[in-house]
Amino acid sequence: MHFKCTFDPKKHPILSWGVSLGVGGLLYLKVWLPMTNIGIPCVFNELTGFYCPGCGITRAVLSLLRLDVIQAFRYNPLVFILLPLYAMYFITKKKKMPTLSNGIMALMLIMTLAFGVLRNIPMFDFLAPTIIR
Amino acid sequence: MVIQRNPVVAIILSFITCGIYGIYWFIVLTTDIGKLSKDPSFTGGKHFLLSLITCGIWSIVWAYQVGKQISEAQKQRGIYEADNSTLYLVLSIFGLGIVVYVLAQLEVNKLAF
Repeated sequence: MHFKCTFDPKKHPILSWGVSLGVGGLLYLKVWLPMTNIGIPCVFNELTGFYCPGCGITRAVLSLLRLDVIQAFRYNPLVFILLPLYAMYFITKKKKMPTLSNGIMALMLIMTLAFGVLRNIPMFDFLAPTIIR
Repeated sequence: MVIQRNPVVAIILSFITCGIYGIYWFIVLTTDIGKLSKDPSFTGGKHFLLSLITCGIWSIVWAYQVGKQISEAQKQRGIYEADNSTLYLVLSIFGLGIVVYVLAQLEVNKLAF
């Protein structure tokens, strides 16, 4: 049987970008990191010793790939809240609802800044990347 | 409405406010470029949020996209000069994001209405 490949990456830019980013990310996490142990360092964390709002996302994704959702949440709880909000922002932006989309963006920015500050304060250190198992 | 900004004043303000004006500049500059290229999804808030979440790595992607957006805005006005996205990308990889701000602001000032 003759099988003809009709997929043209130029016609589906988002799909081809998404697939190549996903494959690249998987290779980075599952092949590059275990083999070399050279990750992308957080410049802010290296310089100041403080955690930035994004610290722990790589470890959270690694935990998710092991289906360990609770550990992933403890590495970086913020992304789990931001992802649905970002989806809402994307939809409201597409549907041309500027007040709502700007409000969601402002909320996300405030949450991110507050999270970045709080996770460095000893009282709220449960927000810092925490290893529970 | 896109207003012109003097990049020298903006740099001085960024220094004396310990970078806080730099954040404001990043956001308004990005929004202005989105307006000029008529891309409503290119907003300052979104790019600032993504830069925060990725520890600043996103600002490299941002620099490349800024170059693309500016050349798109120039094409729409029939005054296409050059595609500087790769230059912006390299500058921002070497930590010279502030130079990208200045170059982009100079382009925006030419296109501002």
